[in-house]
Amino acid sequence: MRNNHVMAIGLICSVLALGLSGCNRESGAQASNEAKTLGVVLPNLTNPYYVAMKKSFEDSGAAKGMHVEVSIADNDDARELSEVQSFIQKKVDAVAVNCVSSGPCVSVVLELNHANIPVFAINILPDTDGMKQQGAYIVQGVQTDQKAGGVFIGQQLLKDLGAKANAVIGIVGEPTSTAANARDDGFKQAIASNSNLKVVALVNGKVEETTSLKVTTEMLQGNPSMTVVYSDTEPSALGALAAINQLGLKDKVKLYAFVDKEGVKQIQSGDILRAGAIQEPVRLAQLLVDSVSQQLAGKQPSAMVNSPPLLVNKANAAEVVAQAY
Amino acid sequence: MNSLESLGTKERQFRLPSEAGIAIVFLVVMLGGFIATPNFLTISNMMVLLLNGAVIGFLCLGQSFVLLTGGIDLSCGSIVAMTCVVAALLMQSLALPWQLAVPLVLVIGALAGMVNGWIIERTGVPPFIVTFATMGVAASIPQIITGAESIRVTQIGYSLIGQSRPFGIPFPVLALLVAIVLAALLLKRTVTGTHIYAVGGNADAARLSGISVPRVTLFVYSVSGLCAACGGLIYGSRLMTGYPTAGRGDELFFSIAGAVVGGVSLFGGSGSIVGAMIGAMLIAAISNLMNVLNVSAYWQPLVIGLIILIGVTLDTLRSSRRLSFPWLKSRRERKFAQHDDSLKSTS
Repeated sequence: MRNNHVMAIGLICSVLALGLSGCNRESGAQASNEAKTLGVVLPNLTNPYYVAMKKSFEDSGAAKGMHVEVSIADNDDARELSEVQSFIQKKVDAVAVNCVSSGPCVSVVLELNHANIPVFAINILPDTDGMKQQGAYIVQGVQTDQKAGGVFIGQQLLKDLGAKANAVIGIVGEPTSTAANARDDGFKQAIASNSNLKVVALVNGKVEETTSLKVTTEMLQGNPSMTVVYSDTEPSALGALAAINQLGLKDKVKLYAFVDKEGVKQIQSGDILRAGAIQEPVRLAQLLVDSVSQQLAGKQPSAMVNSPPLLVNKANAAEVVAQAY
Repeated sequence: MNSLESLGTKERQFRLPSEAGIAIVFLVVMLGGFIATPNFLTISNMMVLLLNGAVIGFLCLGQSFVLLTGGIDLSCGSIVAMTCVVAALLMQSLALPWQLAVPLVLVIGALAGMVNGWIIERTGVPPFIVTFATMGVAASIPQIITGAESIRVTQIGYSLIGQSRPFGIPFPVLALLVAIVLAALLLKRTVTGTHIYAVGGNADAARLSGISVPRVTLFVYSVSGLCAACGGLIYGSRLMTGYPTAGRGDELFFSIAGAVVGGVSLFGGSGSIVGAMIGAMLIAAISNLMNVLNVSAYWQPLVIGLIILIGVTLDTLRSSRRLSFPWLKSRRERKFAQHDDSLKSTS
């Protein structure tokens, strides 16, 4: 008797599921008949960077007459894969992937390759070696030239301090991210010309204001001679700024950092955050949408676009703040 | 009974608190830090350590109440994020003065905790599941309201909470000290405190002896929510910003680890606030020390993990008498003695 009930419920569920999947297919077919659809997967919407990028994708897509569908992977590689699989089911015309992490992202690309959907990568690109090994390929990668940002900041520091100045420098970084490490490499490369500038510490700000506030206070406690702090991510810059202020070191310690809108305002109004580099997520998304529309029109876009970030200092902060994310 | 009585007499001669084990580990870490670098055991760094540890301290305090009843609160980190943003919203969007916004946020935090308690008590769903769900809810609310943008607070008075230093001691540290004293008194000296231990020890027995288990459950989760709101206010006022990622890092894990390291049982009924606070400070000290020493970020979680594991293992082995220190009395013996005392006091 009980078994019969279970079977009946199972049967009803299967019928409903089949019916619903039928609905899905219909809407997918409809979409492909109208405008071209670009699927976009972003890691999260807690970072204002991706909020700005999402908006730019939607706006630039609309300008090109494209339908843009954005999915969020919640910083989870597996979730990213399943979001992409659902794009494949919907038969979108192209997919732009902002990898959560480079390695696992190769499988995401491969999945789309098998489905013959053109893949574009933005900001965090899939691992190149991994792609070679597995035979995966992307049409184009659009990324910020992270190293160039670090170089710009380093050069500005050299200019501000003077050619032969001494300084003890601490980095508030994110050592588990290759992009952040590239920013550090650029910075170190730029300051290498003056051997009196010494990087003595690297702490992990975890791309969060509170963590960065904590670790920067501790780093400054451990290194009383430190006079320059370099932060390689935007949220960490704000935490580091609060740390310098709250330790009463604003006359002694200067901050150089990758910045967002709040950081640009601080460069404009304050005296601690001297200069920074700002990424342009809006521009990256525009560049990518342009390439997608080229590809769909039958032209082959270039394999890689490296867009350098913008250097912000006192001179141009007022100008940049309006377009900052 | 004879043996219990004889233990009781020994207890009166010499009684080492059960927190002694972890306190020794804490002292060893402090001493190690002192030897390793002259910049660690300075007054200014101790203030930084305490200030940075204050939020974890508050969360650990609230978590201890919940753990003592045999529950767990996974939502405390998210309530930090929610209250941090709500405080900024109240002050910036609704233009409430900070003096009004702050108590309001504390009430909101306590209410959020109370919702946890209410669902657990009404539905009987395990606390792990209920608070896991509210963790998601509380984390989403600020993101939905603000679109994940952070909100700058411009009322300077708000900074008094996180940035003022009465008598040279950061205000969050003073607030935490007051909270610890109140919590310890509540657990040791009041009927509610006894009820919390009783519910954690054996909820059925507690109910049969006339204790209102629902009321205790509501109370402990509210305390945890209130403590999380204190954390949210501290973070918000230190950075003068309300942002939705506050408290979503290691805070939740450290709050549970701190309490458990300090001897609070995950199964309820045993542990103390003082122990939990020593546990929280141990974790804060280790993480401070490693940044002061410029230890590589790759190594830090490993070192924290190993020190906690070694500290708790030594303490557990000591308690279960598999590792004997002749000068330390075992926890089990003390438990019998306490049980004996409580039997005497109730009869």
